[in-house]
Amino acid sequence: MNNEIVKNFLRIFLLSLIQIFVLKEIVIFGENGKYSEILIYPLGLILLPLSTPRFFLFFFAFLTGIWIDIFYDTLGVHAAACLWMAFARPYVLKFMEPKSGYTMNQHPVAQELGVFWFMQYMAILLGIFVFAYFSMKIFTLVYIADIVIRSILSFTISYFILFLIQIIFDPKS
Amino acid sequence: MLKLLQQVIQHGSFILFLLLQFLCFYFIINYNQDQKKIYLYSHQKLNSFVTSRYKGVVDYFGLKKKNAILAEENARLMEQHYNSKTIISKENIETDSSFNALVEKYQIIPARVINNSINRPNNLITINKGGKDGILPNMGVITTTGIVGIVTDTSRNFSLVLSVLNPNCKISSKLIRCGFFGPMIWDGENPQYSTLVDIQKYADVKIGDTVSTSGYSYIFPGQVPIGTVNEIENNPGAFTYNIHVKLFQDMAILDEVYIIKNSTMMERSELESKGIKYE
Repeated sequence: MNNEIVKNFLRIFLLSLIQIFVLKEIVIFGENGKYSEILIYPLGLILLPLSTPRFFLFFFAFLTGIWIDIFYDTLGVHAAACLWMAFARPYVLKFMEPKSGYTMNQHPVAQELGVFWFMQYMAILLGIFVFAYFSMKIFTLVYIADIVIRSILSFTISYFILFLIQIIFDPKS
Repeated sequence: MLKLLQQVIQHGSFILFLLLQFLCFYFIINYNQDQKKIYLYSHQKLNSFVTSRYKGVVDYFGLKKKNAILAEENARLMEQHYNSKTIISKENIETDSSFNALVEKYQIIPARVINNSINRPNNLITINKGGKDGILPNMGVITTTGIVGIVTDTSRNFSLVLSVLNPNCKISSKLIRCGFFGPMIWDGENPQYSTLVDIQKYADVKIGDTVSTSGYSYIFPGQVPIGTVNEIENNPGAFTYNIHVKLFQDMAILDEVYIIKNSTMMERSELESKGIKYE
């Protein structure tokens, strides 16, 4: 169990380092990456074990968000988005529960629950995260079209990269 | 209390979520320039919207009181206005204290119309001030825009006013530009018009001239606006014009009226009644 915590912590830390030092600088659409941001660190939260208590989940999400925010210079924006995602996670898991149910100590990964299941699960949570992130960043419903466009573009790129990571690295190891 | 505690434990994670989300919003608003501006702008907009709505509702309750205050203020200003005219015209003897007792002093009392008619051949108005408030017959009734009529009878709390739309009501009026005067009598037809009779044919009357009270009667002070000349009726064979005057005050929408109390009314009416024997 102790090992589990350390492993998850390390994974989030590693992902956040990649996020901060590499992906933050990459520009794909628009000037200064205005239209798309590659966001991969939510994977760390997505992959937390199913048995993680909500209490712990919220704390973890909040701290991760603040940690990223410090480097993005947007205190609170990432944290809020992470919290929304963490809030939605148990409901998404319940909604996607297989007929046989979950077993104890299961992980929400492709190897255990199937590639198709995992793709759907990750898409829903990442979608929630990206939409929440741009809503918090733009902060007004006046630019709702802007929020949607940015969310779609960022979601596409991030999802693609996350899927590659999932294939290349086995998160269980 | 125990139940509450149970609830807190049961929904602890949700409360934590709310707390952390609140903290995030606090951070976003306080440490991000763009979001801060948006927040302040929306906050202000919402605030002003709510306040104006609230005020709109609350103001409505105070309207009656405000109306009364404004009526009183109007009365006071009118008093000043009509009194100043009599004093200025005799400026040089103003300092004489005995003169003050002689000069016409007007006192204005605000009142409200509680019954009104304009369609009958003899129209009367009832107002909500009476003998209790110092109102006597033969006092003039005006509004801020024009004249209304003359008080005929009073009870303790109410007064009956002879409307200008009543053939028995004769108002001494004057054409301001050329100075000719004559009585104004309603012809009983259109409630928006009255007729000014006995204006000599050599008078230089034009359509659009303003008609006011003459100030020759003790009922109305001079220069109270009445209306404008609308039509000049030239009867062949007569010495005088009949002038149709469009009234400034729409008699159909009367509400707030002012009664003019003249301090020298009694004295003057007594004296002038003695002149009858020479007629």
